[in-house]
Amino acid sequence: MPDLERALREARPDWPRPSSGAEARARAALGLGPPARSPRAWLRPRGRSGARLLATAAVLATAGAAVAAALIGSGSSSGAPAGRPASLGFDAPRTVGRPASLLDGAPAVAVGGDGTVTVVWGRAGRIVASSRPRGGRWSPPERISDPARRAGHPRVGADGAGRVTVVWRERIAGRRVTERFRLPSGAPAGELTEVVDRRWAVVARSGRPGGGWGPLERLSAPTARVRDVEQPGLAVARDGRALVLWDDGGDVLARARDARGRWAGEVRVGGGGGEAVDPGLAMSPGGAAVAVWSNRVGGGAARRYEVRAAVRDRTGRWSAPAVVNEPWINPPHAAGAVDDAGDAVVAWGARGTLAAMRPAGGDWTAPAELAQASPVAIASAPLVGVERGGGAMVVGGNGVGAHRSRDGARWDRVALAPATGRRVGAAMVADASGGLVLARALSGPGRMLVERLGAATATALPAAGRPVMAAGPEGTLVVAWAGSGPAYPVVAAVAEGGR
Amino acid sequence: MTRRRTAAIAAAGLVVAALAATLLLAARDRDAAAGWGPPAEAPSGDAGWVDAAVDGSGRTLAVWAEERGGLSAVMASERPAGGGWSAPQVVLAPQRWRVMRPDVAVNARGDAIVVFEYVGRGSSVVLGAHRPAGGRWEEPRTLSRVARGPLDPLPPAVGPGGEAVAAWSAPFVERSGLRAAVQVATRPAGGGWRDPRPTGAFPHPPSGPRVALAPGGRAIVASPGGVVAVPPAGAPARLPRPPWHPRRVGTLAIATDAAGRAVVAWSEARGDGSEVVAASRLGDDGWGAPRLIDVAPSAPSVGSLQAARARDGVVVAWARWTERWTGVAVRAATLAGPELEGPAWTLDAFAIPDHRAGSSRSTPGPPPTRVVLPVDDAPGAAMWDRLTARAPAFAVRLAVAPAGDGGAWGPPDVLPGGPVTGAWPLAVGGGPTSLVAAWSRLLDPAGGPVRMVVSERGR
Repeated sequence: MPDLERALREARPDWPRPSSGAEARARAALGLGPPARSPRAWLRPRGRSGARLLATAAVLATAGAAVAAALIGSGSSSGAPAGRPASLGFDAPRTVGRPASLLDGAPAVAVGGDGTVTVVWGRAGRIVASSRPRGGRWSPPERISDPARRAGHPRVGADGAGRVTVVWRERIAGRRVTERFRLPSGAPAGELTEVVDRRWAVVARSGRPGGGWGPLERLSAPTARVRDVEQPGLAVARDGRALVLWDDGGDVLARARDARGRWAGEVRVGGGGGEAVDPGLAMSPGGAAVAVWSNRVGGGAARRYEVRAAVRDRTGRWSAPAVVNEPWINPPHAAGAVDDAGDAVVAWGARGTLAAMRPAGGDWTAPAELAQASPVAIASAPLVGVERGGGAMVVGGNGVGAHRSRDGARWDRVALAPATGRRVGAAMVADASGGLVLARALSGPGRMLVERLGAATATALPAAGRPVMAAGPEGTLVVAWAGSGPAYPVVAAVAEGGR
Repeated sequence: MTRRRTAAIAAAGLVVAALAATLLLAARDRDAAAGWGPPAEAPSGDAGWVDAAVDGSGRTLAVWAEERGGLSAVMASERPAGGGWSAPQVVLAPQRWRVMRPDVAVNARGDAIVVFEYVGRGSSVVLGAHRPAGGRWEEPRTLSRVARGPLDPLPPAVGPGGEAVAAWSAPFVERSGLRAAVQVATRPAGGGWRDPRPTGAFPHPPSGPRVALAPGGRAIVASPGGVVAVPPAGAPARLPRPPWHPRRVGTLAIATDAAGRAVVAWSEARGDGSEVVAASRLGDDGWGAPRLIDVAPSAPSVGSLQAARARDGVVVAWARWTERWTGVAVRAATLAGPELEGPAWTLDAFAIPDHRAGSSRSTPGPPPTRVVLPVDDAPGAAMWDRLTARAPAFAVRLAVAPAGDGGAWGPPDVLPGGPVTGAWPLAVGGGPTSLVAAWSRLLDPAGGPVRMVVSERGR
């Protein structure tokens, strides 16, 4: 039974989703009652598996195959509505705007439930956004941050209704001082200028592309430490709930927003000695989340990085944070992923790439070494994802490849589409169907390979830069990067859902 | 009788052998038993930058930059030979601009200048302060114009009469490559600082241009691209083309001899792959024929080239590979007369941890050894470091050799106390009866506060 269940679950034809009426008729024909919580709650793995599969087989046998397969394939352990696999039929890359200030962080992208794609980036110390409705054209870049304040490191998310949320780091205070100097003769020697009494905070803004932006909202308390709130994390669920994460001294803090747009107070997710750095946030479609960061402890030759992780369940409760690694001398650039059940995975770089998994409510497994880098190399930041069905996927840097595991102890190598050249950047996202899509930017010659993990082939885009990627529930996929050249254009390639 | 005689002979033999071994060891190294006093730490607290200089009487002047409540200050303290450190004196009161690289120079009688850089939002400016021997520090003066990007101050110099020179180079890129625009500010003896004067732009070498002061206050700036004289007043003037190939020079050092003539020592890569150390003196008829002082079989082998005026001529010292990348020799020569005669001595030869380990380059460069010489006209000595452990917790042992008469050198003393983590030679010198060594020590080898330490022994 379990094998048949898995096989049926993994049948994911790209067929249209059934209407709620069609689903109701199918359920009535099968003698199934109305769903307890969601139209597809009966597809959850816990309980009634035998009856469910028999019902599925009966539907297939009665030529309701399209409805049945869609019902099965769109179900997920999340209870959240499932979506389409990401399309790989890309339009030609387009320049969305320029220039991108890479010192202010990489561009970020999101796809709303209506297929609208939004790209945000830092430009001359301000945050700008551009959007493209499904089938439409990119809007002129619009500044969305306060023109009087320096902002950077934006993140963007979009909900099922297409409402977009952007967060960034903003300098909310500072005073410019100038001193004029004179040479011994009295002749002017010029002036030095500095900004003092600086304070930074995490700021958010929400809106609907083309429909206006809401007010600026400050989410964090001001900090005077220049290294705090450096790269806030953001995750937005389809129902509009959101989670924001940032570092403050040795701690990592978060604030949650409900589906009605109300922000709750900040909570301390975790922390330790030293300085919390490199916070990362990932959220499942149903609202479970994992926060990963490092605490940089010790000094001098004794400096070490401790990778910490905490998991938030769908009710909003955070687990106690745990140190998952052997403290390491170099920045580990840890990343994590979680599914709706709360099963989480974290990966990080040390001498090679290591990973650990945590079943919901359980403990983290001992770190498993996926692959060793060369003795003198430092492993690059890994990419982490959770597949439909509960498998974890980790994609390491050059020479490490991709690995999959179900229990955190055994990791099996996964073949990627063949590629030549040196990898200069990569991104991975889970699409709405629960599959994982990987984009690799390669040099020699420059190109971007985009593939669905497990498929043998990849789509090649004719340009390369360190990519960011997002997938929408209706199958739209966007890859964006900052191009090279004197004007650092922001470039995006869109594959609309349904192709 | 025979047995007693045999025993006596054997005993005498043992004594002789022991004495010979002792003499050999003494010739090879002198250790803590040679009379170095315990290290005395300057009252610099947790400083960001430190520097030190020793005058001809053995008085040590330490300067440092320190942070107080977000403000930066420059402080100084002195220690006479055989004495203790003075309470810290304020050279620059706490102010908002970040202070970088305070550099101190003294002459043999104790006149001093300190030169440092302010940095603010991508711009920088050079300032300097003067203190006559036994006097008080004057208010720091702005010596340069504010520049975009870093200014790279050169080691300043104080002449025998109290005249002073500060110079800096601002790197810039043009089609021919990286170059440096060098400017000079001079201060005549008993007078005030003059506005800076440009001396031209040169190819930016690995070791940077160097400046020396001739008696009377004429400054001489040497770089691979040429040599420029800066008179106390008036426009700088290019001196005759020097006898080195501008694109083959590795490192430069310049001093003036007792007659005020510029003597430049340099390392130069040859077409056959070797590297030479040579010196030349600028006379009335131009540069003298280069005197070849040392030859290394491959380049780059020579580092930390230093020059200083001494009683017997101009002392030149350097470090070079004897065995790439594990064997180092410290060598010196006292060059006298128009022909720059004088033999080269090997002051020390030692092994260091493999310099290639952890390097991303296949040819790591010259030895990491730093050599320092006394100020002009001070009794001769040299100090250097022997690397004993590499980063992250690099450690060295410090060695000092006194110069004798006629350009000869005594055996080196290895300063007591074992390897010092994060140490860096700063200054050596002393009077006729004392030898003083000053060094900096990182509290944390990976960075952070620095302490300044001095030790002394009788000559």
